Amino acid sequence: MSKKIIALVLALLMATLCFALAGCKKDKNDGDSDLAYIKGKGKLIVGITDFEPMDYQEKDSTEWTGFDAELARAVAEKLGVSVEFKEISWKMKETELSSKNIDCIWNGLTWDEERAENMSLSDYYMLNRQVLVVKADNAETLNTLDALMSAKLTAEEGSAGEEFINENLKDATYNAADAQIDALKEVLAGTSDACIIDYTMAYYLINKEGSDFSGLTILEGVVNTEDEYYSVAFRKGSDATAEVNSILAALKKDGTVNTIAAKYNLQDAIVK
Amino acid sequence: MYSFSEVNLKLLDGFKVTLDLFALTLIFGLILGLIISFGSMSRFKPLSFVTKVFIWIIRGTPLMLQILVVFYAPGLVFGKPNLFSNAPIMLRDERFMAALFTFVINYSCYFSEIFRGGIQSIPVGQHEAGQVLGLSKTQTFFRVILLQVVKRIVPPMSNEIITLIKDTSLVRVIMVVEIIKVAEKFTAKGMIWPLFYTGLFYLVACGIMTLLFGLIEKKLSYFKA
Repeated sequence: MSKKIIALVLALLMATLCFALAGCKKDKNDGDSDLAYIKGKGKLIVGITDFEPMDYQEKDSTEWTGFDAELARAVAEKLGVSVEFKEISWKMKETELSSKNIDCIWNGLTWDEERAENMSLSDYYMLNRQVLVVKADNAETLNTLDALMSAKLTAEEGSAGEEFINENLKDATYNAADAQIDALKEVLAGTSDACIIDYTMAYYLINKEGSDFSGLTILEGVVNTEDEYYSVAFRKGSDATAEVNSILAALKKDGTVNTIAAKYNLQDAIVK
Repeated sequence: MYSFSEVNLKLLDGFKVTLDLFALTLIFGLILGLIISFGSMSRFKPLSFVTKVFIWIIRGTPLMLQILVVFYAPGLVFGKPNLFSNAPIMLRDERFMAALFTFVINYSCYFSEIFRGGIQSIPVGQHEAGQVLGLSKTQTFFRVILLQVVKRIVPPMSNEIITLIKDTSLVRVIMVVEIIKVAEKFTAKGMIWPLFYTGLFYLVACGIMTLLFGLIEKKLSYFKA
């Protein structure tokens, strides 16, 4: 009796494990056309993170909204496919893309050369810049580059903020943070004196009503980096990028982009 | 902003994922662990060798790395993403399935060594006694040995199982939205306290497990010499 039960349990377990492994679809994705692959599925899988005001969920909703989410929906509609939003870990974005778990990243992704080499980036659709954030109490003392030289600084690893620190604030104590939000946390906790992060995120979190970050402030005019732009990232060599570029251009022309931006108070950041 | 009870509800949603992963890993891990322990104790040398190499690889590499490999390698190496979205029994989504698969494999290797230690700690005399009484090998194992093994391995098991509850927080690298990930999302919305508050959930869960194991040890104190 017990033998039978054991055998049954074993068989069940093996079957589950085997199916999990062997159950993979034998779909032929010849890698010729990424656009055909996406259209074939009838679904554009958009990789995002929870990032107000770009991609986020309203309090009592599971529906993704935000500037990027709405723009992605508008573009997908023109492509003739549906949209599925998948939350990803930002650190794994390139891997998510090349392993085809997602088809594109649409989440306030800043265009830079390194990313352009690894992924296929769309035309710019929004303006961004790096800003210096300190505790409001330190706004008077940390408002020069000289003062920052003897301060503890942080920025997201690999970001334009980090680059600025490496070039202009070499003598400062610098600790890279995993993500922009972690850099903000460092400043709030006092483990770093100042951070350099995206204006979009800093402005939003500092000014949001009831935010824990409201004790921080953006210091204008101390850090001047070149303008940056947000792009949509597709798989390297993807032909979907060109298609999305022309759709984006059309949506800009007919005013859709502006209408969406106005909903999130981002109309000034739209690339004309 | 979210109220205290709203935060609690959202965190509980995340904690459900944590507990799901924990419970399923425990169930499948214990079963698979027992099988693996038989493999490593096998007198058929090639089998025990292969099993031991397997255990070495799984215990010798970080769990986080294994999660990344299981979830991303199918798409990266074989061009077949979402391997787990076609599993016959779909619990939550394919990310959860990949995490569960990794956890079961990983923890069964640790469990198997605990089983092996427990089984080998039973004196040979017990096996011999079973034989003398006319029991088959299987009967001896399930009716004589296993009962004593269970009782001996409770302390090391409770260690491993309590570690398992906390290890589940690793799965957020592939965006399985467990309780810590939920809390991190609150941080991204400007609320920091939920992240530290999650500790309470783990603490309660581990407390319950500790009490439970204390009870089990008490219950199993039969055969007490």
